Amino acid sequence: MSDVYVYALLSEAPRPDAGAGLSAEPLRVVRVGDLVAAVGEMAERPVVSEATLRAHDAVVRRLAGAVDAILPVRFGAVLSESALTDALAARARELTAALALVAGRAQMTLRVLGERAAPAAPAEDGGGSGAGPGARYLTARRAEWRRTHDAPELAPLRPTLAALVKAERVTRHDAPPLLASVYHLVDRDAVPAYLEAVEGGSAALAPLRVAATGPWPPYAFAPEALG
Amino acid sequence: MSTRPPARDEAREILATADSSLLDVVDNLLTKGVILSGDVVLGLAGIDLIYARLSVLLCAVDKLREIQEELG
Repeated sequence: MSDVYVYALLSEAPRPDAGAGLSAEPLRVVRVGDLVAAVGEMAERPVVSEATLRAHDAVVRRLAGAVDAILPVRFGAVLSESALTDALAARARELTAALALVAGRAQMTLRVLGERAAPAAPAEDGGGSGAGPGARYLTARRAEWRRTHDAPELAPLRPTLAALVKAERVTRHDAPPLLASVYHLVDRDAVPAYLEAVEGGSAALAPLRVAATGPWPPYAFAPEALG
Repeated sequence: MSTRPPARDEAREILATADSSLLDVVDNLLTKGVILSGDVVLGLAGIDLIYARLSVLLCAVDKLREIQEELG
């Protein structure tokens, strides 16, 4: 059986049809239970280039506009149709939940820009000097998770964004001027309100700055389906 | 692919004005994790090249190593 290139998982088959893929190959859907994968026949993995990245993105965006819920699949996923079916079946529950989360929503990307990284959070005590190695380990793990998954710089924006942001993912860079990329999941019809809230609140962040882009397909909210 | 990192001022300017750019495309698609089959070759020109350098720079440390480990 020939291999397929996977673009995205969808809540439904796109209408009237899925159009063409990044190599101009016709797209079709593979169904596994309630999951619908948008795929194109492809013999081998495409080379990573600006053109192929943009082409992949264009296909995903077109699909995003045609369905209510989409989980973009990472670039370069070529596998046999049976391997795809197995991968989706094995993670059906998680993927279905992820599709429900992104339904009717889009990703906004907020980049936090500034001169230097946020000061490290004060070290936690870890339950006192009597804490055992297990407790200290867990405390360190928690602190590390927070350090890499939090954007404390956005605190002044939180009150106005809270009602609009349905989910958040943070990637810290701490490489000035880019301190962090914050991915927000917002209702599609709330995108203008989100941009307005960021614009209105940005002065409170000085000397830090934020740059919002989007709406994008919810790339940051898609689990690794084929990992 | 050139490994020259963007100059600090250059990077700041790009990030400050980044909008619907290749930066987002690369960030979105590589953050999800490109599946590497060979060399990453981004043959670009002008400003886009800088976007790509910057993004790949950021992705390279944060993401590509994880992906490589995932792929074993």
